[in-house]
This record gives sequence, structure tokens and C-alpha cells, in this order.
Amino acid sequence: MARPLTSEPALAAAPPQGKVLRTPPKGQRVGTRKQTLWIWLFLMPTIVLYGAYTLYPIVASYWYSLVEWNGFQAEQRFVGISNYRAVIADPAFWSSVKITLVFMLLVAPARILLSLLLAIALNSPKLPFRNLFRTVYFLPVVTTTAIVGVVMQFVFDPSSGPVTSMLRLVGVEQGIDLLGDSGTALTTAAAVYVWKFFGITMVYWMAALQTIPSELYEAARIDGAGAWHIFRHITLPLLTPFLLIITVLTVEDTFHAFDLMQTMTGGGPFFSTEIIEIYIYRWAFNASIPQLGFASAAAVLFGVLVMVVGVLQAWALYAGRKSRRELS
Amino acid sequence: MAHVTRRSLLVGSGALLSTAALAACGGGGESAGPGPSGSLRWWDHFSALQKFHADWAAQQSQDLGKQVEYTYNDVSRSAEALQLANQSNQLPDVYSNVLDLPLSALVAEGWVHELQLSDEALARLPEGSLTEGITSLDGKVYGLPLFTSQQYAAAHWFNTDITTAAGLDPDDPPTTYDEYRAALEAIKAKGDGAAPMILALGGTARMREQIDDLAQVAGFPGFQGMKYATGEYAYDDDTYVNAIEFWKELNDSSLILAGSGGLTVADARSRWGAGVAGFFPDGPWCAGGVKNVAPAFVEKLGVGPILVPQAGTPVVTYRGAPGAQFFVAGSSADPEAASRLVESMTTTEYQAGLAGGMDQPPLDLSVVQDADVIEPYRKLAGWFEETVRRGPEAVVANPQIAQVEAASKPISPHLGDIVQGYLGGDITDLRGALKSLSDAFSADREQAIATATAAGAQVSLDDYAFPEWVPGQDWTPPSAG
Repeated sequence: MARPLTSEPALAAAPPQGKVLRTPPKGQRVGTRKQTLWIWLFLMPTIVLYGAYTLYPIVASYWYSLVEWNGFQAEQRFVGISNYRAVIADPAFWSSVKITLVFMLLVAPARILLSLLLAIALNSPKLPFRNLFRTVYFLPVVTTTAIVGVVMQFVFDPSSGPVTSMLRLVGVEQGIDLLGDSGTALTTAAAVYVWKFFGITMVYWMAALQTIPSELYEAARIDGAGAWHIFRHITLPLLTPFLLIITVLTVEDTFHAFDLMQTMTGGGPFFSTEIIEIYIYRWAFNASIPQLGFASAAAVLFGVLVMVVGVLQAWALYAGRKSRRELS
Repeated sequence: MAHVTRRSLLVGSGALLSTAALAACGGGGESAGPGPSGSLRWWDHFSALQKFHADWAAQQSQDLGKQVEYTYNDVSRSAEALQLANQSNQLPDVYSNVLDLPLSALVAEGWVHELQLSDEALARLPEGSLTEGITSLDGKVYGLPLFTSQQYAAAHWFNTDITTAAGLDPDDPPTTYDEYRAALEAIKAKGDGAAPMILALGGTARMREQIDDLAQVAGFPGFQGMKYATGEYAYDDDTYVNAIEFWKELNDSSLILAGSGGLTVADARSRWGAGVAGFFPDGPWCAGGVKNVAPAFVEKLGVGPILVPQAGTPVVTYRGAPGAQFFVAGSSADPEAASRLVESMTTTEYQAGLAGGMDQPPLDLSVVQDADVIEPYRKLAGWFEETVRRGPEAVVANPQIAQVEAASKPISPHLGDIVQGYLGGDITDLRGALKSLSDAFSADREQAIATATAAGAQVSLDDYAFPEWVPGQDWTPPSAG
């Protein structure tokens, strides 16, 4: 039989009431130590992997941002904050910040609203094949992003892609280079991104919708409320706490579009889809002489931006919980 | 059978995971340098030579009595692969040179090992193959040159089926801007669905090379924006502006395949090989590249020379000394065997096979004339021999310039980016963008010279000026003079 984590003798040795316990009895101390040991043992894989693949790279990138290093040579020359000065003085960095924010503004509202509408439709018990539809809409989420990026190049090929073929059917003879034109590339990439990832936001919404008690809907219907009034006065108010959290999660998510953008446009044409992640990658690995210090400084600044969103996320979680407490 | 409790199962799983993690962390030493079984590892990025190199590796495994593991890496990933391999102490024994660092820096950092070439191998190399500062340092050879420097990247390959159908003579390809434009118009007028030409505008590094070539043959007295005689940067020279404007005009006239704006070189070549366009500007390696992806298309290949703006313009371009293509890693556990593998590349058998791969032409261009290559490739090699001259190089005249090169930083946007931006309409003031590019290069060179001088190098801006250079003639390095 497995030994209990808290031993009986320790409980039996509890001090009489009224006495202040300064040191636990020996048996209890041994039991607590063993319990702590087991806790740390089970936490160890997470701590090691999180430390190696998350904490160490973060700390290392802070160090690299203070040195000049090309990755080919051993010498890492300490240059203080001059990499930060160079990044801040580079118009291409600010251009990539702008593109990242525009991309977020294009993607986040579309992802949140479209997935909400779809989740409401798919949540209806009257909808036939709703499980099939849920699977179909979620399928792009589990498709490899890099493959989606490559396939989309063919889909939007202005000389022979299916989009061009459809445009020809409606009389547009000259193919439109949606990914090769800097005026349309970002919007097209945003549309693909929304299609690829809105399934995950839809799942968030469906989980949120299922927290609304069905009795409220039944009562409203008995009172003669129509679909719009039910949505306006029951669904929407009860979803508001979730809206905050889902919005912040989605916004944070839109900052990580490297794989899709790199495979679909590579940041082009002429840097028009160069989000910050591609900017960092370009200087770290794609430059003729890699500039790892410079790229790390850009990455740290990008990290600050994500951190701001993280703080908002924490605030949204707090506000969401508070709002739910008030509603209940 | 012993009873397995949940706890013992978890403990066992944890122990297994820990062992696996430790094994993964500690694997570097075993796989560093030679392969796990003491084999030689060979990495390169020559797509057209993949099959030949795989066969050569198999043959060398027998000759050396040691397994040779050959790996091809796409050129766009090769530098990153080597960077990561070096940091994890897993550099291959033999690798192709995709590092944009001067030889002296590579030697100092232990990236390369001296090549132990026999006298026979050295004798097999054509005269002038080894250059101090490029392939050798202090008389020691570190890098083997494989390809001739007598080549350019802006040949005009065409699909003979399409051009013949448009009434063009494959034996009389266009040689001037006007003739080329007329040929494209003829294909467009034929209206068979094929685009007149395809351009890899997404491959900005290749765009840069091709515009450098077109500007040079149009009369720019220098290379990569720098004038030989004075050493000044002048990307805003008329020759550059006119060459880019020529492409812009073709693009605006819908003579370039729609969607070329984002095409990489490999994508563009694959599509051209599928018959979507008539012409495709590319280097000599186009033939070998097409042979790899669409073997049946090889017999349809035709080629024209680099274009000049007007008839009668003398066709002459310039290149530096042959570069080092293969290195032996400084960390190789068996540099002697690795050197023998590299040395095997100097043999007649390898050189013939190299020419047959139709990548960049071999060091000895005359080999191409008798090699198993298609006629257009042979013709192109002949043009290279007639028209490409040796140009001056600062690092050859003063090897300490290597320290300046090591201190240089990448410039962005580069010439290729500007070409893409101008053709796509993102840049409206072409000459202004080119002037900014020249200024950026000049400023970077000045900071690099200052850094190198502070480190003790005897260098100055004068090292970049070659007032004695005579256009149309081979430059002779001072030590050879």
C-alpha cells in the first residue's frame, strides 16, 4: 500500500489548545519535508524545461542586446545601450512596429466578432450537424501554419491561382497580385490569419456561452422576448466579462504571426508585411553578417510591448472575475 | 510479477524523462566534428550539383576508406545552419562557403583548418586560382576555389518553344534593351497564354547581382556601386538608374509575369521550367537548376548574353579573384581526411562532373567545351571567357582590408530591395533611394575603417582607389605585377 503523504502520528501529536506551536513535532516535520520533496520532484520537469526554453533565452537575449556579436565569431563586444539606440533610430523598426499594430487592429476585431457570431450559431441546439460544423471551423487551427502559408501562395497566385480563376469568372481578366502588391499584402495576410485562427477564439466563446444558464433563456422566451432582445439583454451582458479576457488573449496572440507571415510573404513585398518578429529574424539570421546584438535589442523592446499587453491581460482577468462576482 | 503502484510508475517515468533529457543535453560531444561512427560530414548549398555530389561522396567513401555523409542545404538556410552548428560544436568536416566574413576572421575564429593539398593537386589548379587574402593567408591555403570568377548572373535564358512560336530565332537571341523588349512584345502578341518573361523579384539578393551586372556592362566603371578608380560609392550613377528603369518599363508594360514581385529565385525558376514564361534572367546555374526540377525542360533551353543598352556598346564585365568555395572545419577531428576529400575536387574527373552539373562553371572554363553539357551552357561559358575581366579588389591589394570587411555592417534596404520597391511602386524617387544607398555604404565603410584602424590595421580609404585601373583590361594585383 502506498504511504499517506500526511502521517497519522503527526496529527496525533497535536499540541493542547491554548499553547503556541513554535516547532512542529519531528514526525510532522519529516512528513512535510517528504511532501515538499515530492512536490519539487514533480515540478522539476516543468521548471527545467521552462527554465531552459523560456527563462534562459529571455535572460540571454537581455545580455546579447548589450553586446555586438555576429554569431560567427566568439568575441562579444560589450557596447552598452548602443544597440537600443541603433534600433530606436532605425525607421524600419518603427515601420515594423506600425505594421504589427495595424495587423493587430485588422485581425483582433475580426477574429473576436466573427467567432462570436459563429459560436452563437453553433451553440444553437436547433442547428443540424453542429458538431460537424464545429470540427470544420476548428480544422484550420490544427493545420500546420507553415504549410498554410505555402499553400496560400498558390491560392493567391495572380497568374493561375484559384482566386484569380474565380475573378476571371466574374469578368476580372487581369489577375490581382494580392500577396505581391504592397497595398494588399497585409490585408490579405490578415484575412488568412483570421481564417486560420478564429476557430480557437470560437472555442473560447462556446465555452463562455455554455456558462449562461438555459433557464434565463427559457424565462425570457416565456416573457415574449425575441432573438435580438435575448441576445441584447441576456447573452451580451453575461458574455461581457469573457469579452475582456478573450480580447486581451487574442490581441496578445496576434503579436505572434511569424510562421504564417514568413512562409506566406517573408515580410515583403518591400517590407510591407514585415512585422516585428520578421524584422528581428532578418537581422539575427538573414543579414549577410548576422547582427545578434541588434536583433536582441529589438526583441527586448518587442518584449516590452508584449509585457504591456500582459499587464492589460492581468487587469482584464481581475476585472472579468470582479464583474462575474457582481453579476452572480 | 511485482505490483506497480501509481507512485512507482510516476517515479519510473520521471527517471526515464530525466535520463532522456540528460542524454539529449550531452549529445553534442559525440556528434561534433566527424559523424558518430567517425565518418566525414560534408555540407554544401549547390542545388544543381546535389546528385553529382551525392555520387562523389559515395565514391570518396571507398577511396578514403571512411564514410562520407553528404548533405545539401538550401542556400537561404545554409548560413543559419552553419551558425547554429558552430555554436553547438557540430560543424561539418567539409562545408561550402556561405559565410560573409573575410578569410582572416574565419581563420582567427577557428572556423577553418589549413588545407593540406599535395603538390599534384596544386599543380592541377589553373594559374591564378589561389589568391592571398581570398583563399590563402601567409602562403597557407585555407579555401579551395571551385568555380571560375569569369561569369555573370544576368544571362537571358529562354524557352525555345515559346520564342520559336513567337517567330524568334533561338540562334540569334536579343543582345540590346530594344531587341529584348521587341522579343517580349512578340511573345505577348502571340497570345499563347505564356508571359513574356518571369523575374525573381522576391529574391532581392539575385536582383542586386543582376542590376550590378547590367550597370557594369552599361559602362559603370566599378563593381557593386563602387568606382574602381576613385573608390567612391555611386549607386545613383546613370548606368544603375537606366538598368532599373528598363526593368520598370517592362513591368509597367505587363511584360513580366504577374506575381513576380514575391517570387524567390527557386520559385521563379521552377515556374519558368513549367512553361509559364518565355524569358528568365539568371546565371549559368540555371541550366543545372532546371535539370534538377524539370529534366524534360532542359532540351528546350536557349540562352542569350547579358544585355547592353545600345548596339555597339562593348560587352565587358569585371569580377574579382576566384573565391574560396570549400573549407575544412577548424574543429574537424580528421582534417587530413577532410583535406583529401577537398583535394579530390581538383581532379579532372571531378571537374568534368562539375561542368556536367551545369552550376557555376569550373575554374578552368575550357573544360566546359568538352564536358557533357547542353549547347546553350557551352555557348554561355564561351561568352564568359570572352567578356569577363579581372577587376581590382582592395583586400587583394592590402590584405588588412579584411579587418574593415569584418567590421562592416549589413545595409538595409539594399539594392535588391530598392529594385523590388521601385518596380512595385513603393519607391518613387529612384535616384534619391540610390543616393541614400551610396551614402549608407560610405558611412558604414568609414566606421569600419575607424574600427579596424583602432584595432591596429594599416588601412585607409585610399586602399579602395585604383587610379591605374584600365577599363576593358584584366587588373594585375601589385604582388603579381
